[in-house]
Amino acid sequence: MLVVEGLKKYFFIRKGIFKKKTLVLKAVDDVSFRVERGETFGLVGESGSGKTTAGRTILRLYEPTAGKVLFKGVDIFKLSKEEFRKIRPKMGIIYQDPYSSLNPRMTVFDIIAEPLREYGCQKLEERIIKLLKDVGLGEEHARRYPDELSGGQCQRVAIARALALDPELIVLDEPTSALDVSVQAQVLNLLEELQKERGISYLFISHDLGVIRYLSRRVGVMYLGKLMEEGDVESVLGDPLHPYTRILIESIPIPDPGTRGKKGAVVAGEIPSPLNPPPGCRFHPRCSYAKEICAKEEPPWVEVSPGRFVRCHLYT
Amino acid sequence: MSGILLSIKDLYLNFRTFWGVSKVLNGVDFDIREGEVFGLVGETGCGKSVTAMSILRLLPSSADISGEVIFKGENLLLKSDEEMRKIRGKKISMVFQDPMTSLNPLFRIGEQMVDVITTHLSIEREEALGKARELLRSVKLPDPDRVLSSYPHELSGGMRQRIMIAMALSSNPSLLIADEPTTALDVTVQKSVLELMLELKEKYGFSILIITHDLGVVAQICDRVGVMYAGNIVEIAPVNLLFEKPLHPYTKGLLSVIPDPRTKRRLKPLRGSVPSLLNPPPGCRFHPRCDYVKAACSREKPSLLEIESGHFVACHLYGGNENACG
Repeated sequence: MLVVEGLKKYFFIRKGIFKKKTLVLKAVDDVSFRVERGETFGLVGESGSGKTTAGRTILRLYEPTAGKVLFKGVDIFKLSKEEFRKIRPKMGIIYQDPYSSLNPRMTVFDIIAEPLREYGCQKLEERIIKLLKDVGLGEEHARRYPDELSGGQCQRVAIARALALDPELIVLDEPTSALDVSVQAQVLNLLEELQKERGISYLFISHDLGVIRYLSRRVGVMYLGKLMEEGDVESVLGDPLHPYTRILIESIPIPDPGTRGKKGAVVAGEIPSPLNPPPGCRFHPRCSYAKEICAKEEPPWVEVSPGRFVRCHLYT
Repeated sequence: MSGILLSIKDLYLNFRTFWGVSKVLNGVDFDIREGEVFGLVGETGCGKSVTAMSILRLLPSSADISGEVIFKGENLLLKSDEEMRKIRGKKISMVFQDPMTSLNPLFRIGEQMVDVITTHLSIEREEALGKARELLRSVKLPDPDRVLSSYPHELSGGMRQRIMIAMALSSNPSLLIADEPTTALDVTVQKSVLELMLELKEKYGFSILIITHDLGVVAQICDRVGVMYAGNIVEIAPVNLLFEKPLHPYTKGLLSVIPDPRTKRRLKPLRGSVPSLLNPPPGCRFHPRCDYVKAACSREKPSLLEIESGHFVACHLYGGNENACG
């Protein structure tokens, strides 16, 4: 469904009084993965890892610096604006904050109608009522404004809007991070049902490994713009290879007091600034297995077993 | 160990708003023992933060409060403003959720810390600076001198939260209230901050009231837990019992909606949503969403009863509440 190859997105930041110095922020640096039809690929990482930028660049919301994105075999970066406009309805996006991603001055009806009108669809009313029903809202919600809805209901409206043009791929950027756990569970179940019914592919971006585990089949772990590890969700979370993935998993507070006292690996320091990433392996200053080579050479992306990739000198 | 440090009794809190009276706390009861970590857990709007604010009396003038907050034998609700100022930050300190906004962006860390220290302890600037340096070392910040001369924006979120903890501990408080202290931090940083809090607690012997929505955090650091729903404490238990044998239907619901990174299991969301506190349901405020609802539930508010040692629940399904009005 979606093949991402060598995707790069650099931001150029001008500094100084005359803006002569240019800093390069490599938000996404050579990222490759694929999302299969009807499946969910999870992209996990901490703040500043570049996961959101990756998601947005894939939809051309940012102009890519380099790389290819094949959507159903078509390289969407090569398409003209007009051609891309024809494909775009097949790709949807849902953002993290349900309040700021819905226009507060539009009714729910108009919010969902906007993409439909944009693409000249007919029978708006009928379609919108059906969409509302599909996401678990009623007809009565159509006339309301976002501030009259709860966070969970707003996120359902955002889902309805993303579904309006029958997309085949939806980028979900932390869709439940702003919600309480009980509401999150409702939204996750809804997303799962919709995927089963409609066969939509999801690119699911999150910092929460529990949520990733719940929806994804494959998962990629990002750190400072690079993919560090990729594989089936069971094997990556059950048997992590990269020291960073291991630390990420061990840091999650498990809701079971029986697991207490297991000290686990504590990681030194915090994620460095992406403006000035460490040389060699980007994780090496925080890694307890760091060898000499780690500070000098960037580890290659190796396939250790079929479908299981890792970027670490321990496996080369 | 088990002396009671803080005791909240029958705490009611209403806010007068444009739309009517919001009944935010509806008879909250719990104790915090000396040297323990007590967790208050619940979803947005359940009243957990406002409970903490009531302890410190940091409430707007639109608030009407009744009940008792007994700290070391004295009712804080009867104290004068002047007396409260001496307790706040000195005997009871607080760490807030967002370390970005709880430090003043215009002043260096050193100035802010000296300010806090000299307010509570009658010592000179120079001495206070030494104390600040020592505190920064105790929260494991490398290079305290550099930190002292930095502005907040030059430091990371985790560092800022460590500074907030250092400032909170500057006057040797007996109680540290931490309101979602790690919610704004990444998981790897969260873990080290939580471990630091526990370590300092052992070292200095204060009690911690931690407010969180994250049951993972609760399981990892609390000794006892109170679960809140819509302004009520619905269950209090030692942490092991709460997770092994939750009694209240809401607690059970909450535990079954956490996605577990270890295995995929079906999430069973509670039906409906949290009620408006302007017009809360009568009786048990959870009854419209409860699968075990009985006639009594909509009529009478269940009281918090001890079902087994240390395990309290407010639900008509248990104890003497069973037969309440049939």
